[in-house]
Amino acid sequence: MKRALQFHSNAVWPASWVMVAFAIACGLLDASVWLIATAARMAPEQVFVMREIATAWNVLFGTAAGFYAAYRLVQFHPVCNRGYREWLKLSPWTAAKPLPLGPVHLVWQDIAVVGALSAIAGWCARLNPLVPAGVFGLVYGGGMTLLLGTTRSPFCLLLCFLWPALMLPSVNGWPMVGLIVALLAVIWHGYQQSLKAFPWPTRGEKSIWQKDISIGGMSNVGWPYARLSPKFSSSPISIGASLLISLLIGWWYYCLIVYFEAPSTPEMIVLFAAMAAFFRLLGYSANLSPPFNLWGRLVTGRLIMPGFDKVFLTPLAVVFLAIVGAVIIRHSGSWYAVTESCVVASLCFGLFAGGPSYQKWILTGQHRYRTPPRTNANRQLFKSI
Amino acid sequence: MIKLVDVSHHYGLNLVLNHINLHVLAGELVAVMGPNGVGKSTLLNIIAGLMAPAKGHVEINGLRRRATEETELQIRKQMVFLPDHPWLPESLTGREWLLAVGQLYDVDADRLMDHIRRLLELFQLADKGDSPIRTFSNGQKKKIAICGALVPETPILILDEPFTGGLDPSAILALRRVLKHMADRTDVTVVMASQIPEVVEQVAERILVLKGTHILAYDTMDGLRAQSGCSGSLPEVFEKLVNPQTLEQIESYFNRPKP
Repeated sequence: MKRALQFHSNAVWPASWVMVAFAIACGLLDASVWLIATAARMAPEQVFVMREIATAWNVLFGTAAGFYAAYRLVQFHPVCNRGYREWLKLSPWTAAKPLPLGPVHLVWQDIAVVGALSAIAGWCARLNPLVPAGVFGLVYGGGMTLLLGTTRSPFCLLLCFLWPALMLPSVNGWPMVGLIVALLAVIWHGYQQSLKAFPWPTRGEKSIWQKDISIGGMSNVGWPYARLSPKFSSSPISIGASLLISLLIGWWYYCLIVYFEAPSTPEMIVLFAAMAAFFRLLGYSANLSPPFNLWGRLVTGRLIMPGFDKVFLTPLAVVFLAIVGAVIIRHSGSWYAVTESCVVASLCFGLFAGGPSYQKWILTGQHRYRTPPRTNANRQLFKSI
Repeated sequence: MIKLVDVSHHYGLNLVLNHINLHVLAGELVAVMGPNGVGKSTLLNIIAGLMAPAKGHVEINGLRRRATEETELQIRKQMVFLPDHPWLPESLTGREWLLAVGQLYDVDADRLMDHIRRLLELFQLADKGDSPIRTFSNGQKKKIAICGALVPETPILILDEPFTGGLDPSAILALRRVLKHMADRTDVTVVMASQIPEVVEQVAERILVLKGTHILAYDTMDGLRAQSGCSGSLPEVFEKLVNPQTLEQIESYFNRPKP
């Protein structure tokens, strides 16, 4: 069994052509260093310490480590390969058995590959050996976080809260080690849980019969069927999800401000709120018009149409909240980072949770659907009779 | 059953419909007629749910349009709207598009396939059904659009000018027969705007005549004859109702004194 598992983990070795390509790239860069040194009549060591050359080496090793991490996920994770996933569903595979095509979790071969990259970077290219290891860790960890988002979202959310803490200056030394261990533990546990939950439920999967006729989606049925669809659904964001996402955005904002030591920017917050409110309004009112226009409102004296004007409430409230928030930020002194983050989180919560939901607006709003415009781009998809 | 309660609508300052109250019974085939620009399409758009009226409301089988998400979706399942100018996905074949429309209304797969085949044969599109819609002529596009309205087999059909758009005589005959068949059924309600009196007279159980911004008449053919005091065919009755001076205008045009 041990032998079999060892063989199984050997599947992760990068293909020989990849190693050859990497060796060629290193050779070309080394040759260019030699050429520059010869042309400039300098010692190669002097060229090596030049900033541009050091950056080029860093990019080369970082890219190699990043590609390897991405390859490990894309090649071996069933989420990334639909055919593999479908085949696994039909096979007697369970989470207790190793994945047939090779492991997704880290194995000693990974340490060997990344260790080799770090060693070459440190000894031959005189770079910081932590660069390849760091890039590998970020790409692999970030990728696993995203993949957990499709199978076990609570772990993804927890990881999204943990990742930005790496930027905090107070997290240094042992706290940093503790945080990395915590990240790895959550990734490992989440991954194991996601495998146990296999087969993962897939949203909107079509039956074989539907696949055969390859109908792309509701937008394919033309006008007015897509607009008057009896199956309209827009998956509204729940209050809980809105709160969590808003807190997450606020937390990331705080960590970024602290990391970059950014100054207080209340005006930017107002600008962000105004733009976000505008885009929300734009999204809500795409292809829709009020029952009658502004001139009609003025003349009939019906300045407010509650059934339509409710769409303006949340954007206006968000802009107002941003202005109030900007005033508070101005008076918050050294606590501006915390205050700004709280304001950003509140604005996001308002944008996500503020009513009406898109589905409610489309189905019950007092609007009218606009006929698709007869533009050239539109003619490619739909054509009027 | 379709009910319009005190519906008014205006575009800017242009009042199109004013305090319209209408009651279409379940199983009826009602034809909407009226001069150009009188608001026939607006009326049908409001019934179909493409626009909310400026005032008043619409009820479909006792459910109020746009009241709640659930009722609106329930109404949408019961109704198909064929607009004057539908937009068809040009890259799909006619059959694929009809399948997509049928799926949208959850029509049983086997029944859908069979119905599509019969519809394509009825409208002489069997040979063209598997070609992309972009290769269809205007008349063929109109035919496939009509098939699209018939495929979901919903109990309510709203048709805006189904006989226009380059239909050939055989397609007009086929559609006329389909509508006649629907008029005979008690489970299908059809509201149709048409400017072709010969067809309307043949298939409609009741005729709604719009003039200005209001309903001028809403009755059976016999009722309209009685109202107009004219015992002729629908074109004559219609002219008598809507534009009584038309005949005199024609006479005066031809009897103009020579210079």
